[in-house]
Amino acid sequence: MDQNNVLRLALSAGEIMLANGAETYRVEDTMRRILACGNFESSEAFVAATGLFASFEAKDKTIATALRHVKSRQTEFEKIIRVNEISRKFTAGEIDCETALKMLDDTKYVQSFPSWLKISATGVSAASFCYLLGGGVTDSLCALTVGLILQCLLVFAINRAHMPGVLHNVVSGGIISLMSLVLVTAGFGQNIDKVIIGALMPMLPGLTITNAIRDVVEGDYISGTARMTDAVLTAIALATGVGTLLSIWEHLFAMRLF
Amino acid sequence: MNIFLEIAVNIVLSFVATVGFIILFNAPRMELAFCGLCGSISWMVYFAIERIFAGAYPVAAVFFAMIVSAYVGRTLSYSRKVPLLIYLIGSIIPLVPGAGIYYTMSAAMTNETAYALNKGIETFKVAGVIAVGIIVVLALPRQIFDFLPEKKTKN
Repeated sequence: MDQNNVLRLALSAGEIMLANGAETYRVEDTMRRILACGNFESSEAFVAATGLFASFEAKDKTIATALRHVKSRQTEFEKIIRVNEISRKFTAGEIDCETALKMLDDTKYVQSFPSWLKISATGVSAASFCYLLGGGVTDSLCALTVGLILQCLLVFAINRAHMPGVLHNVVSGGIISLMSLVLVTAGFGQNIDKVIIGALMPMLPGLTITNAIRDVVEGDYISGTARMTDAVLTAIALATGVGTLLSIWEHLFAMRLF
Repeated sequence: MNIFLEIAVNIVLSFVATVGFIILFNAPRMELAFCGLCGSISWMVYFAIERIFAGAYPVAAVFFAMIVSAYVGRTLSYSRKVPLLIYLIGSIIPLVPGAGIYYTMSAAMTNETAYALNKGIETFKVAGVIAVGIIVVLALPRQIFDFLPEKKTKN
């Protein structure tokens, strides 16, 4: 087994997992398990929130270290599960290193859900949350509309503009607020607050919070605090977008909203 | 409204809301229903405690809802051999204090500082309790989760 290929396999597996939203400790664990199969004198893996390192010392005393920087971030659980299976098979000795690398390469072609399904999922989710959190039927229908339009805009315009995360969330919050205000003022819904809360729920950083907690539990405080900061910042940015539009509307039309 | 109809509506809507949210993360198709189940359980525990005590202990309600649903999630993750993360997200999403964030911000924007502080602290309490709930369940030994039959893996 080529030692460099084992290093490459560990790094690629880690990179795919980290870029698709796995917890830091799980990435580190997977990389260590893969490296442990490499017949090295010693090996080590370290994962931070935005990059990963792997290093080994071979039996003939040569040392190699490599690192990857993870820039893009999306969330695709399907890929994490695939990589998990590949690493499980590799460490069990069922497949060799080259096959594993090729299988990792194939995870690029994993299909994510189509856009129309994501758009309708956001709308339905927003409407359901609106009703659960105390809105009426008309409010839920407003939240459904807001969710559908917001996710349409996100998929077809805002996500393609590649804005920084904070601005992205401020804009999403602003769109939610503006559309809810228009719909409620036009007489389609009664409670502006319930409509906005319903539409806001699918945008909240549920994944980041969960990841942050798991990282802290596993003792990885650096990644945990980094992700927690990310989650808090996302929530504040969303709220800022919503609040700004509400105050502008209040001033323009001189109405009491709260 | 009839209480049974209300319970049924809440179960269905929390299920649908969680599945809708988890679709945005490209969860595997086979796990969508189980995520929805976790979300439903966590919302129904919260809902029941809120109703029985007439809304007197909202933070404790979130805590117990989190513990019960994280327990179910961890059991499912061992039996279906899927990372726990997916089920945990389903469990926490109905409990995330979206309403608290909104009310805090809108009060802050209209210079009602006292109300904003009040709501802000409540929001932080709920967020903290969610974290502690997950930590408690993760700290439990594996044996008490491992009772469902394991899924057959196809090779």
